[in-house]
Amino acid sequence: MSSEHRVTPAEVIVEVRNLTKTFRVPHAKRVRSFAHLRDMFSRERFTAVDDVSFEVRRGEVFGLIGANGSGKSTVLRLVAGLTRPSSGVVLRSAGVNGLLSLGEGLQNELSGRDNAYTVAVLAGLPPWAARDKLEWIAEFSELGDVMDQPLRTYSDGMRLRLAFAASVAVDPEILVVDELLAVGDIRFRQRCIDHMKGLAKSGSTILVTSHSPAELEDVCDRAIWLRNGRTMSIGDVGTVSQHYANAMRDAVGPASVESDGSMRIGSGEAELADIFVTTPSGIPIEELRAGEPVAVEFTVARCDVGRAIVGVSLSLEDGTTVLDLVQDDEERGVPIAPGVRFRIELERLDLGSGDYFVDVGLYAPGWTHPLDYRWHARGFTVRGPGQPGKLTPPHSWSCETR
Amino acid sequence: MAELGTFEFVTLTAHSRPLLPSRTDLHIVRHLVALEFRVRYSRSVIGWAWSFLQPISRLVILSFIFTRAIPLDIDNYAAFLFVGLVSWQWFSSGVSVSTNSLVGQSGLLSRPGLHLAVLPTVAVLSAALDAFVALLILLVFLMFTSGISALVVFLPALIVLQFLMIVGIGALLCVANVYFRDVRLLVDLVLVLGFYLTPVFYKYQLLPDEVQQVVALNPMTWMIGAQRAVLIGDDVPSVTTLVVLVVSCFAVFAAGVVVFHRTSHSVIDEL
Repeated sequence: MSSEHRVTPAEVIVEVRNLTKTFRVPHAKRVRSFAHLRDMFSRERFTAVDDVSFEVRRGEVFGLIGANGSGKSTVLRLVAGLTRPSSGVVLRSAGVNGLLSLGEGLQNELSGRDNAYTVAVLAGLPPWAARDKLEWIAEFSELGDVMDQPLRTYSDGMRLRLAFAASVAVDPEILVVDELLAVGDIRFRQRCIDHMKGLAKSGSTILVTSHSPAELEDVCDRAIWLRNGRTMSIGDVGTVSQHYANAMRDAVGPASVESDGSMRIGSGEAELADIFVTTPSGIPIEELRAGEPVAVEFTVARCDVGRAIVGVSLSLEDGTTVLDLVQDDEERGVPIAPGVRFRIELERLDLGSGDYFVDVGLYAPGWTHPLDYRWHARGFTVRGPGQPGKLTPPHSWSCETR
Repeated sequence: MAELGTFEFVTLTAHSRPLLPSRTDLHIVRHLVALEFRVRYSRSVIGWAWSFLQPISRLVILSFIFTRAIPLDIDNYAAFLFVGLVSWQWFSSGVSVSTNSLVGQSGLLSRPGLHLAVLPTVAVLSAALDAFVALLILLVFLMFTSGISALVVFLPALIVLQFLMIVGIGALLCVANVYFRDVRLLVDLVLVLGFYLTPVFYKYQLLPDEVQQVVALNPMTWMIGAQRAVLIGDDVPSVTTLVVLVVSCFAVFAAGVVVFHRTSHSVIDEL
């Protein structure tokens, strides 16, 4: 229209300045005597977010990337006002809506519709407006008639769809989404991403966390990479996710082939040794009969880290995984120390006859990267009646004549 | 959120105080209280009737025991007992549910913008609603048995005082329960014992003098005494009673609100 048309930079909606958050956490050691009793009341300090600054403008999708425990969720909680900074400032010019955890306030006995209503009210809609939004929620979540079923019949994916749809039903000014899209199926995730992009286009400001660079690049305009609460990189999403991906690759290093033909990959922060397939009494074996008990043992020979996720899997020669078992406490891992010997016992192994391989791995908590992963560390043979199938469960035949 | 017309400008620092509850928080409280009742009775066959059955069966059993089995020789025992039971039941369930309100519903606190005080408020209000229904039944019962004394005009004031006391104690205990999860179990134990250590089904005056002094430390002793006085009119509440009640209820309420407000930021990090 006129040549005087100026491009004004969009206004800053969220500004975070020198944000720091420390938590007081209980001492790790257990109370065993009266002398330790006072430790029960003393706390250690743990810095979750360390001097982080950034600003997000209207209409922007801003990503926070980092491994679990890097402080990205804490930043979201601080922005949302769920917890108070230890120092630094959060300035924002609008209310926050969002999805920071799945299933809060949801009631299993009530229908999906009732629950959607609750989430929409909790998200800040007045009751009458929330009621009007129910149809939209049913449509967006693609739950349709299932909305009238009690929530206890829902799968995790359906719950997520319901919660997400109800949370964004407010047309939020600032939307925060924490990692949750990981639960949905790919198609619904794409639907959410498209919706978030649409919201941003119409003036909402969105903050989202992820540990997947690819996902982030798809959604965000700009991003910040956090490690142990500190800013490693900030700026254009392509650059930041490149930095992050490079660092992940460097931490793991190239795969190497061992002298025994097995392959290992990992950061070298821990090392596995003495991997054996054994009988329940601990005698190493290379052959067993279908249905017999079996154990896998291995030792942590060396480690620079305190915790790891421990996993064992069995695979066929063609690479098909037949069994993938992870020690409990998955995300945080379990304590490891040099010399610790792990042992997993299978009460019976009902595999069909054939050759199998054992993979053993230690991963950093949160599955960020392998510490030491031994591919085909051992092999064993199952001798059975000779059926070609992959399973030989306990079975019996019977036959009746009428 | 343009449709709500809320234009928040928020600055959060290490020193910011909790925000005041907004209108949205009031909507949420109302919704959650209604939800609480729906959930409680959603899969039961006789639904609401359960909230009457429990206190009534208690009333029947206790009045049988203390008029037939071990007579306490209290005039109009059923009315005497009913007043005590309604008052105690309200106190006990109010304190018990609000103690667990923060820990039990901590999932809700990951909702951006939800005021922390919403949770104990919902707990206290749903207990109060139950008590309100019980109170109506009690009034009807008294109308048909002993008749209601004219002093009943004081009842609303006593109810407000009892409400303030429950809110105060609940606010203190729900915060304490966040730091020491044993608090809830301890509270439930104390409430069970409290039923016997409070003159709910017996007369304060029947106790030996030295025991009376101990039982008098319990504000519920005074509260139940005053409610009996105004409802059945067995004697007029003394000035001492009223002073004790007003002072203790307001003190507990103020302490609860102040502690809750002061600690709410650190409480969230512990949940």
